[in-house]
Amino acid sequence: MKKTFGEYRYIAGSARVRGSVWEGADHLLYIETKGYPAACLESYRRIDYARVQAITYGRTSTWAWNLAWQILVTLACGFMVAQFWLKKEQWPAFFTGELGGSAVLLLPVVLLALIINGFRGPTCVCHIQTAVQSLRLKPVCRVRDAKKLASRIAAACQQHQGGGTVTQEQLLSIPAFDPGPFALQMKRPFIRTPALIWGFVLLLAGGCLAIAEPYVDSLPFFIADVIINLSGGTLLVVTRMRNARVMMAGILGSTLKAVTRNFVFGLLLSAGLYIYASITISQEMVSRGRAVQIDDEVTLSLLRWLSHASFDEIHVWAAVVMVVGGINVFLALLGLPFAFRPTPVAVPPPVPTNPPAANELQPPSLP
Amino acid sequence: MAHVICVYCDSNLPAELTPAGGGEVTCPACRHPNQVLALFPALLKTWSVNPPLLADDPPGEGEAACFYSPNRRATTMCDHCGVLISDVWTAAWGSKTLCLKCLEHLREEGRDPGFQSSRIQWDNLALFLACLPFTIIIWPVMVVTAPASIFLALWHWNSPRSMIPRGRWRLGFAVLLALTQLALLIIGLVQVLFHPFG
Repeated sequence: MKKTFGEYRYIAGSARVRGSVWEGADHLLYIETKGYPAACLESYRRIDYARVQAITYGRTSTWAWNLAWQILVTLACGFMVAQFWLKKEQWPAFFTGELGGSAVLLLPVVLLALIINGFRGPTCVCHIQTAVQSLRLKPVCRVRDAKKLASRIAAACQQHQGGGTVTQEQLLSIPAFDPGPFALQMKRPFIRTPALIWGFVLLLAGGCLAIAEPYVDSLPFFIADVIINLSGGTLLVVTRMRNARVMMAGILGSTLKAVTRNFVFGLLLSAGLYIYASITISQEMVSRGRAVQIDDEVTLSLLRWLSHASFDEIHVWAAVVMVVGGINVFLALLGLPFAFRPTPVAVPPPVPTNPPAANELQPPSLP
Repeated sequence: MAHVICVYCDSNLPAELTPAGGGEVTCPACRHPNQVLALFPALLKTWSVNPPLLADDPPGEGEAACFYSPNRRATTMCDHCGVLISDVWTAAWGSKTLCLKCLEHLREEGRDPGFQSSRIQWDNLALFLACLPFTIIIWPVMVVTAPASIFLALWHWNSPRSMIPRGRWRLGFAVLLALTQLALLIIGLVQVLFHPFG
């Protein structure tokens, strides 16, 4: 990616999903990209230095969460690689076989991700405030980038605003804000619904079923596992989407975000397992000299294969299913106490008394 | 005069708690700590005042009149179209001075890169369409995506790409990928219909 073009100099971001921020002669250029995995639309926002009022940021927990799971995955991979090399006899075959082999390939990748994430530092949301908006700069997602942005444009902003800085005395001269509009301006707090409780309960049950899945050979068990996991995940993802515009920070917000990620990963895993099962059954049919065609018998045998699947048959897949189930159980136990916590009662803003003057029209007296 | 706004909940942060030299301030509404990096004098400016009314300024003897308001004296020249304009028709856009007609024209048409508000990334779109069939589940969509990718890449070969300058390699690569897919598709179709390879 270029570091300069025209009058602009690069500050933060990339040409991919997050967009980028560029320093211009008299304005800041924010290139916002939309589309995934590739940017399909670029929107350009220009913020005059003369209009910038403040640059602020708030730390987020993304860095800590990412570090936590990256350390966990690195340790797990390291453990499996050690097993792979040592070939201990007392461990199941899949630990020293395919899973260990996969871990050898995966370990450098997760280690590199861990090092990069560690060096990039804590994450944040950075806002630039003008008289008409407080704009979130999505590309500035690290504290280091936010400080770099402020140091790069602070001098230009002061120069375009006639020099001088804001003193504490000047800030104190700003009149205190009216609590009425303040209360209305706030994002409303998240109201807990029964769907949240049911979602976490189903997630807990589904997670337990997923952990037990490789050990239980039963078609109804498999169907119950799929239905309960799908219901729980869907309830929580829909709850999160419906409350996208309300204030849902803290552990509950982070937990629902993690549930969404795990749900999507679970869906992809199911699709992968389905394809794996289809290929295996097709190969069996071909080896028996039968033509490959989809009928009720094949569908039933596909379901049976999936319900019978154990460690010996699906190896790494079974371990991944158990990990996904374990994460679901962990997230459900983390989120359930918050789902039961009562919602704080909203206090309406005070209505100012404004009686009509003597010469103003009086309201008609009701009988 | 304005207050600094909380990055988490968009509520106003109390001025008496906001550190002028930068530092931490806890939002009274959501209890999250905000870090103030820099405050600028624009925060103290009152923006809601009405603009001053300009006095009548007819052109004197030998002075140029405004192109759009002939009863006013021309004070400057539009950097885009070059006509002489008075103060009421002047708009400042960065370091340029433009007449209001040019400003509207440039914003509507988006001809000047400095006025464009968005651009579709046709090169990324063509490459995405060309890569889509490589995902295992939806490879049959190449019947549609490969011709669409070639069409998009060729149709928008000369269209403006990102504002950050970059070459046409995405378009070229998309055409190459899509052509390869079409060739494979045709070979597969011929094989199914006529069995030339046994």
